[in-house]
This record gives sequence, structure tokens and C-alpha cells, in this order.
Amino acid sequence: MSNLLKDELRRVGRRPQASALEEHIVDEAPLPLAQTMTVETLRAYEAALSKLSDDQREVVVMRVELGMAHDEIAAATESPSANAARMRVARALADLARNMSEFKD
Amino acid sequence: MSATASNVTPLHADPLLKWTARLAEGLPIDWTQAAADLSPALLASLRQVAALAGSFAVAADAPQGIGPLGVGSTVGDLRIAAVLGEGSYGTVYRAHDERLDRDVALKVFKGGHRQELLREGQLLARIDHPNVLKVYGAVETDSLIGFVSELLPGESLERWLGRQGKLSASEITTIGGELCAALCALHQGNIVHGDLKPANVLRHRDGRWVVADFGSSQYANDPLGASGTPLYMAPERFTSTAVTASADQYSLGVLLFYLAARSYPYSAETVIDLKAQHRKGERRRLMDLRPDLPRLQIDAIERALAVDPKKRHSSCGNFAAALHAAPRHRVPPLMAVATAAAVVLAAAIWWPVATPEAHRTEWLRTSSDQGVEILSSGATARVGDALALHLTLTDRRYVYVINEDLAGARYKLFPLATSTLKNPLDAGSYRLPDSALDWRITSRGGREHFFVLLSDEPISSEHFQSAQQAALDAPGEGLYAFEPTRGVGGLAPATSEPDAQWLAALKARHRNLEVRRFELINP
Repeated sequence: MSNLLKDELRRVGRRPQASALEEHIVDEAPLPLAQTMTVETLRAYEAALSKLSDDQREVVVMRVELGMAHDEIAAATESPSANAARMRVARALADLARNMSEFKD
Repeated sequence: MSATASNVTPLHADPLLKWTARLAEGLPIDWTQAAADLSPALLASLRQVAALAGSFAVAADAPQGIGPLGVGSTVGDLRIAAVLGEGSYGTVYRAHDERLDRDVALKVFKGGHRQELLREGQLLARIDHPNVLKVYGAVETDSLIGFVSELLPGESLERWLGRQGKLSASEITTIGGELCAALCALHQGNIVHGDLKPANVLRHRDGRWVVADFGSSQYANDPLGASGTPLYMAPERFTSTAVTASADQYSLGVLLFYLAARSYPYSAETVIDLKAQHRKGERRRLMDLRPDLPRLQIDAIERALAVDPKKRHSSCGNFAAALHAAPRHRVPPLMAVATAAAVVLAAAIWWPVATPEAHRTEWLRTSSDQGVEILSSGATARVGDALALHLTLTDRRYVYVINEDLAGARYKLFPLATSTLKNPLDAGSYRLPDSALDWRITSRGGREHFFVLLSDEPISSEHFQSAQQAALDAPGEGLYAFEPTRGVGGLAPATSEPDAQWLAALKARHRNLEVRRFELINP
């Protein structure tokens, strides 16, 4: 898969829309399992994402946004194995979370 | 001496990494435990990342992910797989019971009387009847309550009826008899359905009629409620809060009247008018509308519609006996339902309804402003939109997707050399071209045909000789083309047109070839 196509997929593809997400937010007592995402969260995510290295950003987008499997990510990023890709994703997500907590401050 | 000088942090040394590793795996997070491990700020961020992952997954799987429970989340032993439908009472999900390893339907109620629903769930779980949807029990968490039931392959009576012509006496008796039996079983179990109507009756793929959608009797006190189907409500329900077995019989009478006449006994547009008509006995008579039906059958249905409950059949069993006493005319066998309706809108479904047809095809469109949607008639398509095919196979098939434009140029959209999916595909659900790619609309054209070929044997590439491979790595190259459409047109089964020569040749060669054909029409 070319980088161009990945960018294209990311741009037009699966990104949740803020307006659609707002409808997810229920006005009654929210269910604990409800997965809601606010515009604020999306903004924090974008900011945190931009602070990651290119490689890390790539695996986050592949895993989180495109829902790619670890073996697909391994193939796309030339990781030695699915397990290696798994660790890269976990580390990138940890750094993403750290960046997001900074964004809040 | 240890010689490890790694710049890689081991898992246990970084508590955050331990949790993101679970996220990366798509595993649930134990938030109590995570709270003990992490600072409040990091915990909040982890929650956000988890929500992001869930929301993107939902967006990617939409429209399956609408509703309060995210796809992939769990309730007790149940893992949510998809949203099947939404109604005023709540949302119905397809879920997998991980402990018992079976697919079930979960109906989550919006509000309602918790104790009442729990009790009703327990009562329903005791009922085991072929014409009653099998309820396994109720699930309860702090914030939700739901019924777990069997996942029934079929469709609603309402939808089925939409494709039928005039029903024969025999068909009415068959449906009426089975629904009477269902009500008898419920009444014997001390349950009153309270909301019998075509949308709440399912037709099992094997032809059986099954009563579903329980847990609505809570609305019995509210004749004008949003759920209200006053035309199906027995007259006494407008003055009394008690819902009785006799009221169910009345609803069934209305339902059968409607099946026979395609209109309701009363024509009122407001509840006030309706009550007045009840009082005066002003209503349509089945005899006027269907004089061809046997007299005994008309009488049986009319009797169930008596305003005075005492004048109705003394029980649903007696209602059934009266229906069956009527002669059954010889009727042509029911047509097998050949559903070309690949365009199934989940939101229109009231209760768990799995695929009525064998293999199932659904075209999904992803656009920058609408997100993901199932294409239906009248859908507009624009340059930049992405198409994908959701395919559910009941057995192994060689799958080919061909796009033909107005000029007759053909493009093979699947399989592609770059697809991770390879023919043959085993039974199961797939997203084509594969999990991470879409077919993208990159230029304009006129009128487009899409052919999904499902074959039990490989199809020789010679048949696709003139077909070009869609070029995945060159998004600028126009996979296929059509004019942006608006209003009229859209994706519709196109069955009336003669087969193109190449398709006719293909069918002659492959006897068991199944072709799903769709058309995008430009006004």
C-alpha cells in the first residue's frame, strides 16, 4: 500500500465526524460503557498525534484509525514480526496518552 | 553478570505501557486497576485513547456501531457485535455470549421499570414455544437492563407483508393460528404481550411465525405514548390500565384484519375520534373488504374485534379453533422469497432479524461528510466517496466484483493482486476489497453496473479479459466513474435488463453462478 493511498484513506476514510459524535453523547445519565468522544478529545488527540515521531504516528493511525491488524502493520512498516509491531503500537499509544495529558495542562 | 543494556523499557517498568498494550490488543481495561497504577492525568488520557480507539472502530463499522453500547464492548458475558435495530423502547444488538459460545440478541431498554422488566424476563425465560421468540433471560448492570434472546434468522411480518399481494384465506389462517398459539403460550405463562403488531412478529427462515418484542407492557399505561399503536389497542385499554389476555386477542384481530384487508377496522386519526368510533361501533367490516374470504373466517376475526371483551372469543385457543374451522381454499404455494434486496437498513429493524437470504451483500459508502452508510436507493455519490462491499457468505465461494460503466468498459474490482483476501472465501463476513482499503470514486461518468459474482468454482480469467484491474496504488487514476447524482436514482437491484454478452457466457459455463447486480442511475 502506498503512503499516498494511506494518506488518502486517512483523510477521506474513517475519521469520525465531530457532529456525528456529538449525537453519541446522551443527555440522560450516560451508560458506563458508552463510548463518547468530544470535539475536545479529538483536538487533544490531533495535538498529541502531531508530537509523535513519524513512525509512531504511522502505527497509531494504522491501528487506531484504520483498524489494521498487527501483522498488516508489521508488513506495512517492515517490522520484523507482528509481535514487534504490537509493541510499537503499545509504546506509541503510551506516548500518545502522555502527550494528551500534557495537552490538558 | 547480566549483559542487557536495552534502551527498551520492559513492560512491568512502565505501568502505562502495560495498559496501552491491552488497548493495542483490543482488550478491555480494568479501570479500577488502572486507576491504582496511574496518575489521575494519565488515567484520564488513557480513557481518552481508549474512547478514541473505540470511536474509530465504531466509525469504521458504522452503521453497526450506533447506540449506547460500542461494538466490541461487553455486558456480562456478552460481547456486542452489531446494532440490529433501534426503536422507541431501546436498542437491539447482535452479541456473542462468550461463556456459552453462541450468538444472541440483546435488547437494551431505555428506561422502564427495572423490577417489572426483570420479572418479565424471568417469566419469559420459562416459555419454550416454537412461535415465541426464545428469551434466555435478563441482564442487568448498574445502568442498563436488557433481555437476551435467540437470534432469529428471518424478517418481520411487516417487511414480509410489503412484498405480498392479497393474502389467501389459507395464509391468514396459518398466520393467525400460529400467532394464537404464541399468545396461548404467553398467557399460560402469565404474560400479556401488550403490543402485538406486524413489526413485532417475525417470520423465521423456515416459515414459522414467531412473536417477539416483549417488555413493552410497561407502556400499557400510556395510550398516547410515542410507542402508541392505538389502532391495535383494545378499546378497554383507553380507560383501564390493566392489560389483559383479551386485549392481546383484540390486537391479533386487528393484525389479521389488516393482513386480509390492508386497512384497519377503524379509520380514526386521533385517539379521541377512535374512542368515539368505538362507542358508536362505526368501523369497516371485513366482509365489505374481502367478500371472497370464507364466512367463518370473517366471523372469527370480527369476533376478536368486539368492543366488549366479554363478546370476544373466550380465549386465544378458541380464537384459533374458530379460524381453523373455516375452510381453507386451495392456494398456490408461497413463493420462495428471492431477495435481491441487498440494501437492508438496519435501523428499520425492530427486533433481531438475521439475513433472510443465503449470501448477503451490502454496499457501504464512506464520504467525508456523511461518514459510513449503507447505500440505498436515492443515495448520492460523489467524487471522493469510497465504496466497500460487506459480504456475508453462508458457505465457501469464489467471489468476483466487476464494475461496468456506460461505455461497457469493465473493471475487476475484486480480487486484486494487492488484496489480502484471496479466493475462495470461506463462510463468514468480509469487507471487500479488504479490511483497510476502499474503492474510491475518482472521476465522473454516466451509469454504472456492479456485479458481484458468487461461484462454487473458480472463474477463468478469460472471462474478464477486457476487464482492467483497478489500480489501487494510483488513487488519481479513476477506479471507476460516474456523475455525481442527486435526488433520483441510486443503487437499485437491476433485474429487468438482459444480461450482457460476457455475463451470459459466464452463466452458461458456470451453472451455479449467482450474480448480484446493482446499478447506479444518474438522472
